[in-house]
Amino acid sequence: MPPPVAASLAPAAPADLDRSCRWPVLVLGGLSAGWLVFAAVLGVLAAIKLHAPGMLANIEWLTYGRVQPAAWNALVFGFGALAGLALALWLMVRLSGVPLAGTGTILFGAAVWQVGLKLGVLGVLAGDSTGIEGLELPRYASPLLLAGYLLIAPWALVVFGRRQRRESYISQWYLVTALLVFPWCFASGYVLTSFLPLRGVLQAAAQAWYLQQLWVLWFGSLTLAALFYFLPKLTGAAVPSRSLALFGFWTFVAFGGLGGLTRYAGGPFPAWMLSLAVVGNVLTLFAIYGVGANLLPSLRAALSRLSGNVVLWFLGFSLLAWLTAGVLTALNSLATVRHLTHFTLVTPGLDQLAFLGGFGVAALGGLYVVVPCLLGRDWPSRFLATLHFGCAAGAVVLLAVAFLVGGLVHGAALNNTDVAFLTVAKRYLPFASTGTLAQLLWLVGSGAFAVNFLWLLGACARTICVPAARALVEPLPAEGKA
Amino acid sequence: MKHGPLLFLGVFAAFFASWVAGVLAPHLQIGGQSLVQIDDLGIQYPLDRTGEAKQGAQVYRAQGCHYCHTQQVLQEPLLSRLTLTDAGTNITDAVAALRKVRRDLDADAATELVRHPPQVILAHAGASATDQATRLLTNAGARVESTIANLGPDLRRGWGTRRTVSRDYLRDQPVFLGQIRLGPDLANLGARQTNTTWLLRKLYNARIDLPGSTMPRYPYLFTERRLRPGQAPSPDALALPSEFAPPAGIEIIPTREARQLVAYLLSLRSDALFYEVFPPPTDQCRDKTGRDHERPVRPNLVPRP
Amino acid sequence: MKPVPSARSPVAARPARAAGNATGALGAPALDGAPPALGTGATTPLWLVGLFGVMLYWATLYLDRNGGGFNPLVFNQGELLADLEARVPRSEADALLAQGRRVYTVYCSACHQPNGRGTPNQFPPLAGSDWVLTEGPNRIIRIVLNGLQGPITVNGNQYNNVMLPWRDQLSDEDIAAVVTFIRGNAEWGNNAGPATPAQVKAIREATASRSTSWTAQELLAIPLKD
Repeated sequence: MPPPVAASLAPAAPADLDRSCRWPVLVLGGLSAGWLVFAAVLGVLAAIKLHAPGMLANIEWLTYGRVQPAAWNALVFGFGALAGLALALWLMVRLSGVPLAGTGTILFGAAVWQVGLKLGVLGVLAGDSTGIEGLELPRYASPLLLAGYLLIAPWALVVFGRRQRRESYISQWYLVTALLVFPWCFASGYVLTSFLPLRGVLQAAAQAWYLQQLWVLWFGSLTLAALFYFLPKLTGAAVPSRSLALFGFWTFVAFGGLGGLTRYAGGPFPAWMLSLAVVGNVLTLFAIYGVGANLLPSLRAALSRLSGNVVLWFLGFSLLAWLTAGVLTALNSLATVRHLTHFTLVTPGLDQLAFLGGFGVAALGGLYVVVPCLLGRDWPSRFLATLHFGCAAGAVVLLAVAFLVGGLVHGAALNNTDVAFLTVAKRYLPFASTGTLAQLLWLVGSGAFAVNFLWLLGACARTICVPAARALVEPLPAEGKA
Repeated sequence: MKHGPLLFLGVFAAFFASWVAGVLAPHLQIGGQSLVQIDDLGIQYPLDRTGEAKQGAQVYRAQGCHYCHTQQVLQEPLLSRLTLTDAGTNITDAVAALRKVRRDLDADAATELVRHPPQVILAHAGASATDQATRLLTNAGARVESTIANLGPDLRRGWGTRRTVSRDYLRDQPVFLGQIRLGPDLANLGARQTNTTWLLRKLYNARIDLPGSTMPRYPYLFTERRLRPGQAPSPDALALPSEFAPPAGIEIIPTREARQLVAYLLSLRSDALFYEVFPPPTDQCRDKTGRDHERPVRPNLVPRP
Repeated sequence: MKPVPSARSPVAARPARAAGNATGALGAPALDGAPPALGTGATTPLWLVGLFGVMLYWATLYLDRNGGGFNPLVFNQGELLADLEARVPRSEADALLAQGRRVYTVYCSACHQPNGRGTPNQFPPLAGSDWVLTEGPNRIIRIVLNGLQGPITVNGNQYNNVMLPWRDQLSDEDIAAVVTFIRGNAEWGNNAGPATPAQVKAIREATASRSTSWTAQELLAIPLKD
């Protein structure tokens, strides 16, 4: 990458930048919206099966042990990764002031990813899952995802290398981190568990490490990149302290990836591995403080203008959800708390709070800003966007309550050996129903988003296609006039 | 930050460090762990599974059993049992101290306990409670002895006789540790359940033997076979109570997959004892057998790996 | 629902947006190309740096206390290899118990359960059982050697099942170990005395000609203690 020459430090106009990345970002964003709805449908199915085990029990493809991982993978690699990549490309282009190169390769990469993920989710439903949670995609699918990623992401780094602003912005730091993290953790996770599997519990250690990178360093970085860009831009308030941002960033990178093993606390791992993970999770609190201290003031400044700006609701909610999840995760790694919460849905609940509430809501908010810029046409319906926010926020809150409170009740019953196991399992049932309600809400919100998106695309297509079609159908009068 | 390469290298270094700590170092440390020679049986632990059980592990994987069942037994570290060994000379003080420790005792019961040592005062108490009780009783001139018992809910539920450690999983591929217990732990299922029919019925419909169970049915692991008139029922057919039984003339036969899965479930046990998993001796045993550290150590008792 | 009238030009000829106060349908202001403003004046507060140092120190203390000395054999947080060493049986008496536990988990726990409570109506309990907690181990050694058949009353409950003989599988030492383990297992609340290999040997020889399992009635005729 050629070092930026002082004379060439002239960022391109936003309109040109948007035009350069229009198709890649739109395609990635559109595919992610499709996966969002598909994953939500599977998520509802899986949630129902937790409290109604008899439902659709005759269909092997839809047993809980298959729908659950299929929904997870569709959500994480379909919606999450694609929306994250779309935003990463757009943010990097905007912040670097350089048009995006390699759009053809990126579109090809998106197609490869799409094929790989479809194969993978179908494979999981067919029973070909690898059996490692979070790394379920079968061997014939996972390399395709990595290949697709390697066709897409490097172009964002190329843009960063050619950046027209010498001083990089906070979001760019987090984006570079995210873009570097994913291929490594994905490759390490899959190679060490299904291609050249490590022995015994080391597979689980590799898996725990992978999950930590995926949740914290990949989705966490993407969330923070989006929040650090959109929140100050939309509120107009400056980020108060650059040095605090640096402190937060480096503590995040240094300690964020260490805490994976707390999800197997007390499990068959030498004590030092768990202790290191606890230390990592506690020290990550500094990064969380750094983010909160820098971003909460801009949110507070915008409180008065919050009512009219739907996008800001998404981003503000995401910030709060991400911070809460981070603090609770650190808390959950302490021995006394963990003793109550292990083997319950508390840990997945915190993952979901950070992923759906933090990343998911931020990414959706980001798409609400980015898509109109790219299409030059605003969203057709404010009502649908408002509905989407209401449903998404309600779903995240309900899900967090169901998983956290339900998890605590479940954990207390598990630890009380006077309670028979069947009763333990039944104590969780009301919370499982709440989880279904949350998934249904999330589905409704996702549907509203998809409808709004399709409506917008349709309107654009009409403005392009209708005149073109008219020109095709009625060529003679036009000639006649001429 | 003005320096892209610095950012790149910094992130790379932090990331590499976490990979070394979380994956590489554990691999270098326990990746070469050996099987355990169980001397009195002449076999190596973990036992190798039969071919049928190995195929059953793949059924377990394909059905996703590990999303609801764990295969790991935990122990609570540092739970103490406190024994009063000697009441000392001042019985009144000792009784008063004991009644502060055990508020459920009335004066007579406390006196009775103090007069006849040794007596177990606290069982399964946390470290701080034990410390406090020890302080109170020793201040009153009594002598106490505390032993650490690594127990916990998993062991009390009968899910195992000891915690599981990395060596228990050396033959598992993939490893089904599991993260959520919506169903009971299965690490020692083969040790507590030996009944094939019961497990098959459980897979067919868990609510036959356990009404209200939240486990899904796996009807597709069974085939329905229509009997010709006068044909004797197959010995493989599942015996079902009348409300779950199929209509007359039809019998339920477990598929090969169901049998493999059950063979795998029966093979699940991690209860062999070796160096790192010995549970602590309990004080009762110690009293009866007279633990004696002066005796010569039998050299090849438990080789340190 | 109020769709914005499509007054804008088609996608291809998108006009540059005004960077001013224009807001879209969702109420978001249009974004210009500049990165967000970043305050450079404020430094990281000193207390935060100080606290960070303190927490790094805490981290080393925590690892020292809970890391098990980075030993791969230590699995419980807060323990060291020495704690492990102390648990491994060293004396003959400990060895007998450890061996008993091992024999029990292999041969007995399938029916009598790892917790010694048996299975209701099928297999009688050993924990707190009136047949186990007798004065001497005479009867229970005989049961282990030759097995048991037919009805038996344990703690007031009737059982009628078959227990296999272990005469050919288990050595005198194995049987003594498992009987000691069962009778003295404090985790089950049992506190009866041990059995010795010599006792087992004597009973094995005395009953060498017996090929059938015991019945409860036959056993009741045998004295509790020699």
